[in-house]
Order: sequence, then C-alpha cells, then structure tokens
Amino acid sequence: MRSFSLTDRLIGGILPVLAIVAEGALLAVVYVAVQAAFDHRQPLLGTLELATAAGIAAVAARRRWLDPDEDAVPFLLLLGALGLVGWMWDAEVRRLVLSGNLIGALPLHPGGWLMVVAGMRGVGRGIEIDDRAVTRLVLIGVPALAIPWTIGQLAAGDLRPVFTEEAFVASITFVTAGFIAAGLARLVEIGRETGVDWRQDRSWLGPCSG
Amino acid sequence: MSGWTLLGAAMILVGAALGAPGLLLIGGLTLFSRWLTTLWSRYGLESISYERRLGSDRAVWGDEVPLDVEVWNQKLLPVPLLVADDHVTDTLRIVGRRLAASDRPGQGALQNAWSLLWFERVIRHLTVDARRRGVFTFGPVRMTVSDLYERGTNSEERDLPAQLLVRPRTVPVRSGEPARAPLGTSRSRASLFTDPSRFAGVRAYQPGDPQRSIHWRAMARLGEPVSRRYEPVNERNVLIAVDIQTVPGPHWLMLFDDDQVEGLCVAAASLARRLLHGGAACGLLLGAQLAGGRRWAYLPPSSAAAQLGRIEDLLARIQPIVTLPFEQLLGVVPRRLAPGGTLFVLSARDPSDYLDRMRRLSRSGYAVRHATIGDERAAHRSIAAGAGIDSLTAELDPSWREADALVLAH
Repeated sequence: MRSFSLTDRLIGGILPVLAIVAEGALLAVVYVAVQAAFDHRQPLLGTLELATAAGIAAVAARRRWLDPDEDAVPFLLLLGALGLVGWMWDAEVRRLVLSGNLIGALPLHPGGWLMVVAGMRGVGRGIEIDDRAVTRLVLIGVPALAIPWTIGQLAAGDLRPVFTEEAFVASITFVTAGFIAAGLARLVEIGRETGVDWRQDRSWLGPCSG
Repeated sequence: MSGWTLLGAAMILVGAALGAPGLLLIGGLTLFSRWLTTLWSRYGLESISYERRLGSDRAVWGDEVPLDVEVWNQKLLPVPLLVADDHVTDTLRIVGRRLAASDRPGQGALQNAWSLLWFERVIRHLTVDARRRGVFTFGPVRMTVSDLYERGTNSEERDLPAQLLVRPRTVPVRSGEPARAPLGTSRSRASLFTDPSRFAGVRAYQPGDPQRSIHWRAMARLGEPVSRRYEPVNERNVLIAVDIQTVPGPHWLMLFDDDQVEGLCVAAASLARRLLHGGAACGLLLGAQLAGGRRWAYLPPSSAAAQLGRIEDLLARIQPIVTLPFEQLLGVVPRRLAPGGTLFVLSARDPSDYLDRMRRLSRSGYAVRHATIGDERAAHRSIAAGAGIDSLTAELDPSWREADALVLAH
C-alpha cells in the first residue's frame, strides 16, 4: 500500500483549495455585477469571503459534521448562518436590523444570497471533487462570465471602473484556479488507472499551472 | 469549428465593436479554454515512441519469457493519459496481468496506461508465461491519448509485428522393455542405407564409391583399392507421421481433445529428439491446420543439427484442426520417403481407418511402426498388432504436463 508523507498530503490539499477558490471567484464576479448594476453600490464581498464560505461548508461536509442526504437540518442551519453573515456584511443592513426595521433591510445586499450559494457549492466540493464537474464548471463558467460582465458594464454607470477592476481580478482568479483544479482532478482520476500519483510526481503541477 | 469557439469569436467581435473590454477578455478566455481542451488530442501522439521487446522469439513450454514495454514522450508537451492496447493472441498469458477484450477475433489486448511528463521514458518489465504451446502474435498496437480537460481522445494504430513460438515440451524416451529396444537403428539383412558407426570391414573398390569411403591403410597393405563397408540398417530415415485427429468420427467435425493433441505433440517432439540424438535422420508429416495458413506439413528427414528445432517449430504451429484424413495423408509417403525408411505413426485413436494404408506401405518396403497414446492405447495397439503392424503403446504418465518420460512398450 502506498504511503503519503506530510508534504504529499499538503500538496494533495491544493486540489480542494483551488476548486473552492474557483467557486468563490465565479460567484464574486456575479456578486460584483449584481451589486454594481442593481444596488449601485460598491461591492463589499470578494473572492476571499465567498471562497471562505464555500470552504467552511466543504470542511463541514468533509468532516461529516453535516450530511445533507441523511439530515437536512444542520445543512440548512449552516446555509442560513452563511446567508446571515453575508447579508449582515453590509453596515446599512446591520443598522436597519438593529433599529428594528427588518422589512427595510431585507431587500438590501444580495451578498447574503450568494453566500448561501457558496455554501451549497462548498458542500458539493467537500463530499467529492469530480474531475468532470470541475472541468464543466470551468468550461461552461468561462463563456458564462459574459453575462455578468455584460450586465456590469452596461448597467454599472459610475461604478463601471470599480466593477471592471473587481470583476477582472475575480475572472482571472476563476480561470487560473479552475483550470489548475480541473487538471489536478483529472490527474487524480487518471492516477487510479495508471498508478501514477501526481502528489508523488510533483512535476505535474508545472504543466497544470502552466 | 465548435459552437463554443463561435461564441468566443462572437464575444470578441461584439466586445471590440461596443468597446467592452470585459467581453473581449471573456471571448479570449473562451477561445483559449477551447483550444486548451483539445491540445492533447491534437498533438499528444506526436513524438511518442512505443517499443515492445521480447526476450526471445522462441520458448519451450513452461518457460518464462521477459517482455519489456517501453514508451517515450519525446516532446515538451506532457501527456496526461496514454493508453496502449497491444493486440496479442488471446491465449497468451502475462504473469500478473489479464488481457482486456479486443474487437479483433482471436486476439486480446495487453493494456498499459501511462502519464508521461516531457521527455519521460518508462519501461515496464513483464513476463510471458509460456504455459501453452503455439504461435503467439503481437501487434498492431493502438495508442490512445486523452485530453487533460474533458474526455476527448485521439487514437492511432501502429504495426509492430512480433511473434513468439512456444514449442512443445520434450521428455526422455524410455523403453518399457529395454531388451527389445523399440527405438534406434536396428540391423537389417538388406537395406539401401548403412550406418557409418557400424563398421563391417572392407570390400573391393567399385567405381562410384565416394573417395571418403576408401580405406587408405587397408589399400596400402593389400595393394589394391578397397572401400569401407558398413552394416545395413533400418531407421536411418525416420518419418514421424502424427495423426492429429483425437476424436472418432469424420475429421471435418473439427472435434478434438485438447489434452490428447498436446500429448501427441509432446510425444512427437520427444521421439524426434531421441531419434536425432541416436544419429537417425528424422522428419515429420502431419495433416493439421498450421498457424500461418498451411493445411498440412511435411518436413523431410534430416540429421542436421538444426532439425530438432525445425520439428519443434512445426509442432508449435499445429492447431488442433484436422484438415486431411490421416489415411489420405499417409498416401503422400511413397512420394516423399524412399523405401527402406521407417514410418513412425503416432496416434491417439483407433487405427482401423488407416490400417490398410499402413499394411500397403509395409509391403512396399517401409518399416512401419505404430505408437498409440491415450487411455485406450492398449486396445488400439492390439488392433494394429493384429493387422501385422509393429505396434507400441506410448505412455505419458500422469499427463503430458507432468510426465517425466515417454514410455514405449509393446
């Protein structure tokens, strides 16, 4: 039986991290477009925050703290908590909630909904990283970025430079992390067939990153 | 051009027309991702070399033959998945491996898969377990490369023909009754053939005598040319005729008993070895389908050093399909073997069908011997002996796989 050193395990952790970063970056582009085009406000969340939300959900699923198929309640609680954090990230929302105007606060800051989506995507990645799913995410996600980009550029108004700057970084992060994750996930799948494990033949990180 | 590529190109055009850098970026990324997904199926098979090296092209039953498979990526582009389906005869056994199914009749696929980095060369050491007699062919090999993203593949077929010939095993031949010496040259009252190892004196030189037969010392002593004289013998020329049919009935039914066929091959090879070591010239006659397409085979008797190898190669090529009734096959003997020679018939079934033919050959001046193997060998021997044929039983005990000797007995 093949044994893995600590370094091998750490390197093996790159794949889930990259897959989650790609998910966060894709959602960040959507969030930035929605925030700039519909709310006409500066984006408050970015790739880091959304990826962290997805990562928390992934860790919870990986550690079997929750299992949506067995018991939906912890899963829904986690999504609710993430959505609440994302929603309350906006100071205006916090102010309205603290002042008791819950109805007024509800339509504000769509970041909460995107945090919920990030949590759902994270649970999926935590259970299993399927090379086909990651590849599909990248290959369909790249042209699909045209939708938030078109919306953002057409409707952002004065916030267009802000949108461009934020969305550009998130888009490049998505493409880079997504392609590396898809390549590594495929190598894991291939490794089952060929016996070549990229974690012990780290040169494979080069071509994937390249 | 795929739909995604068209979409990417359209985004670039619209982005340029509207002055939207975002659309330009996404269009460019879309085109790039599509190009990247098919990179390996387009260029992956270039500069990939595949070699198969067999330790030997011949083996004896029970041998283990080394087989090295080498693959070399001679380019900068790494190949995430390269699968080689090497088509081989489906009865070939590779130690620790199982042949995959193949779309070619009679063939299986020796499948190997690799992930190859730039300029990486991998050699896999395998072993062929030659536990089946026959001709095993290798090639062609189908190389398939997969893309790193998506599941696109590209294949090409390369002819890398090779062949492994597994000869039957041979065992020592022993006599059940040593006094009767069932094999080897035997003195004869008259024969066209003499045995140079049985010196019988000198006689007056006759025109036509080869110069090497002149006895120079005796000539000097007697004062006249004399030639060496040897004892006449039978079995200087032995033709082993193998009756491949092992199941009674018409030969075209193509029924056979695999163990009996293998037993006949082991017995024929063992007899040939014994005869050749004894100094006889030995040949082989059989009417069976041979690997390579021939329907029957005749190997003229020879005592050359390479003759045993030729006989074993021929036996290796036999397939258990009778193409010519044995009585018909024996009909070619007078055209191929001079009278005075020995015909050694080896069979595993009732000889009644070809008894007449053996008797006729015996009357024509051939020393006909009949040996029978199998569970009913005693009964078959009696039938042949009853017809006046010198008949023996040949026993491979407990089976042709484990027997340590071929025991001949009257």
